[in-house]
Amino acid sequence: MDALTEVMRYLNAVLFSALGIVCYRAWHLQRAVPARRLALTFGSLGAVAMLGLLLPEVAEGEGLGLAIARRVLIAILVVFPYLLYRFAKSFGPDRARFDNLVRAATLALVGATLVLPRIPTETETRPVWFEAWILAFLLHWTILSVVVARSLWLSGRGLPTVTRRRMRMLALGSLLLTLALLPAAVPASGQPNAVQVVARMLPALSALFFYLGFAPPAWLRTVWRRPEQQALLAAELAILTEQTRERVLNHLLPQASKVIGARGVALLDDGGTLVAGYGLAPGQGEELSVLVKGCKLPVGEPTALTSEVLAFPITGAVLAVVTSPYTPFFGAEEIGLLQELGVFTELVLQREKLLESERTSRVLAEKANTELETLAYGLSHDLKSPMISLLGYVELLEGEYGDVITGDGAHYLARMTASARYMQDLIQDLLELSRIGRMQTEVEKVHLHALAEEVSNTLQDTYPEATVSMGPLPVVLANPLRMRQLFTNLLENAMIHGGRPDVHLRVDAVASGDGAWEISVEDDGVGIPAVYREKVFGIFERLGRDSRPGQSSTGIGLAACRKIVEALGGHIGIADSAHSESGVRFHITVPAAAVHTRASATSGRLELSR
Amino acid sequence: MNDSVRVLVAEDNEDHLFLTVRALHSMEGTDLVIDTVTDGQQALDYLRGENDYVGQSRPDLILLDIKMPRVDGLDVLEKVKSDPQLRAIPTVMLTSSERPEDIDRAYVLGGNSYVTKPASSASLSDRLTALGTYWTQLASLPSTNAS
Repeated sequence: MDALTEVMRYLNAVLFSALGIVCYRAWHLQRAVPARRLALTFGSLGAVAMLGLLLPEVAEGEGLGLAIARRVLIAILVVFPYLLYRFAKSFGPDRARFDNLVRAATLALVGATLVLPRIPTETETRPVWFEAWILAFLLHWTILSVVVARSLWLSGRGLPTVTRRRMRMLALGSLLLTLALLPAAVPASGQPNAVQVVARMLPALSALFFYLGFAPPAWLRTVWRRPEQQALLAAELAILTEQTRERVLNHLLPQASKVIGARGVALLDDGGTLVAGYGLAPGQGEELSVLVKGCKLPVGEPTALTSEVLAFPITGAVLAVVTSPYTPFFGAEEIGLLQELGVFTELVLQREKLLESERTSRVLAEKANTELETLAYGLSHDLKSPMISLLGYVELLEGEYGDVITGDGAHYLARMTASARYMQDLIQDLLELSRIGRMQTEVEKVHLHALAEEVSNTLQDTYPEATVSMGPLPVVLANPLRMRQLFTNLLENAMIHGGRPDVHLRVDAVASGDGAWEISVEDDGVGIPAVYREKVFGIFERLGRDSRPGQSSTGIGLAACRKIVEALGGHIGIADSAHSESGVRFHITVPAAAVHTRASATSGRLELSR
Repeated sequence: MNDSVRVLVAEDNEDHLFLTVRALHSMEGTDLVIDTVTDGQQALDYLRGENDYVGQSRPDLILLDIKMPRVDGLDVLEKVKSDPQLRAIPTVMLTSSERPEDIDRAYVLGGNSYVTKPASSASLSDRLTALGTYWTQLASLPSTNAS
């Protein structure tokens, strides 16, 4: 039993000394009030424990020096709960009256301790005044410890996990220390062995809890930090879809703050201007700004700007961390965390910058495009008037002087007329083309089958030998005029360039399963060589001579078709005809969004299905 | 069609005006008195007999260009067709655009016909004959808004 007691005494002494040293180091690293008080508290306890080890047991008739030393040590022990109380106070609000009470009580007790006539030995029966003193001592200690424990436990409420656990560890340590002392009320001999053993263990245990409280090992902090890590990860994922810097930072900063256990976090740009902040007190933003502006910060390392503010520079910005009394001093792990955070913030800011510049470019491009289209429109519009005059006069000349102008002159006149007419067509087509882009398309339900049939019938007046066969076509949501234009251009194009008057066309459509449709306009004409199949969609592109002399096309028809289809969100291309050797097939993809889904395509009759 | 028809041509472009008047004169079998104005406000003054045109007699036919300075052709049309004194005068719009929307608008406002510039005498002749037929028929119906 005695051996165990001795071991425990040594162990306790060592543990509490170690604790004292740890606290002192902590204060050295983070020079803040709570840390100082903690250092004082446990420093003194550690000292007492060590010195107590060195002092021999109370013996009869010991010297004055020894007696005084012993008294002093006990006095320090008496003060210990008070010091702990002051440490706990640094986290919470002041309660002046209670403070004063406590101070007075402590002082009184210290006084009483010093004036004790003597300290009875273990084996003596205890005098009444001694019992009274012990009672006072225990009461003082217990009450304060309980107050401290409660205060520390409650102060953890609402704080990030690491901080909360730390506070609660400290609270438990406090409580255990109290429990450890209670047996001292009863003389050792009166206690059962088990109780004695436990009583010896408790200080060690409490020391452990204290240690976990203010210097939890890195692995433990990692475990405790997990909920905040998860939240940060979730925030990081959420950020990936955000587009603006403000929203990104609104997600990021709160989580960052919680993970580190800071009171607040702010992001400032290179020039020191505050970009965004979380948990900052009013006016603190400006303070941080001033602080950051005034310093040259080494990149990649946190620098303490004040006892409360830590600055962590990243590319193009600075993360400023406002610490609270609860923020743990920054170990390698916290620095690593901060670096990770810094890198991520950098990435996110860069991405946001890229998105912003892309937005700007797109706006500029759209603006330029609109301007160009307006120009084309305005130009073709203005060209009309002189065109009309030119045509009018040329026709007048031909009409009134046609028989007088002979020979070459007549030819010149004829060419002038033809050119003027062609120019008029060109201008008209250009106008139409530029309108497709400009016009706010009013979309409605268009029954393509009916429309295509109508167009086909109209065209057959001009091209009587051409034939058209039609399959079911979808009902689309589009501008009816444009659809008419599309089909007119495609069908007429085939009839003109087919190579022979009796060209046969097939108009058909196939659903592609995901709601989209593919419409095909096929002919059995001379076809278009593969090399030209993209070119033909260019404005004013024409292939070779027109097959029908006297029929000139401006070459704008297919460009208009492409524009119309693309305005629908679809795509148009040329492939080989599936049903004849030489002809071509224009395939038009109509996306699901442009298809009127409640009706399915049929040959002219509306069938409501699905 | 009656002999000695008075026509008002409102057109701001000189060349277009020349060509239109020329085309009108080339129509066979009609005796036309052609008056011209070069903007919409002048057209209205002429029709109402105001300002420079006090004492001007009403025309039997109006050829109206759609785009004109000061007062637009379509505005003139609207005012003419809402004026009980003027609405019976047949109005042919001169358009440079074949766009259905523009043509429709002219009809909605009460235009009686349209011709695409440059107006050929043939097309003018067509329109006017058609209008003449309509007019004759109207004259034989019980009229509710005879001016």
